[in-house]
Amino acid sequence: MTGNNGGRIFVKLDGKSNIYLTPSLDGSFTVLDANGTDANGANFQLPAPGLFIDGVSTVSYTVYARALGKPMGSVVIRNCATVPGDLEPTCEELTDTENILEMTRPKGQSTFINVTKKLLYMNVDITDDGIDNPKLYPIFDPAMEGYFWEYDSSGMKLLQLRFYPIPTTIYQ
Amino acid sequence: MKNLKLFSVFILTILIGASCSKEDFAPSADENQSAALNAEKTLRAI
Repeated sequence: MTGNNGGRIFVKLDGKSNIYLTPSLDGSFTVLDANGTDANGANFQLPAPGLFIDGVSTVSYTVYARALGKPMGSVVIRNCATVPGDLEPTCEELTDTENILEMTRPKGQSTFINVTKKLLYMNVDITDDGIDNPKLYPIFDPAMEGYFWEYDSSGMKLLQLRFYPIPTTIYQ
Repeated sequence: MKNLKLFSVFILTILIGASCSKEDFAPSADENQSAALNAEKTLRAI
């Protein structure tokens, strides 16, 4: 399915699938690899949010999410990336519910929620100073590399993300 | 102008692998349309 840009990505029904992120240079959104169930995961290309300048970052679009399908299951999505020189990626803490995305499929009509900050910004501590002081980084910040969404599904079958061309400002 | 921008939305669907039938996870056309209309009403109100 590599090179398949159907606007959809396949993931495991239960367990973790990695969706690797590639920066887009022309502002476009493209599914580069739709198969998230294999060893190398899926790959999604999207425009990079701006770096933080004086604690402010802007991104040219807004991301909304909604769970669909039969009312069952949930998913947790968190940002991960590798600090240069590290062997393993660093991910957002699962307890950091303000910054990771948890979606469930309730009964009745599903509604969209704004997930721009949760999906495009990563709150991690990458310092070795012995103090827990996480900081917010936009995906593709050069402080890390190999950014991906860890998509941990517990039986949820369908998630829809919509990327609207509405600028968003995020404060660090 | 704002409405024109809304039409250029990119939709990414993340769904389970091909081991399940389409009917297991596909929302109905009504559900899709209704949710999309609601989302766009919300966005217009922003």
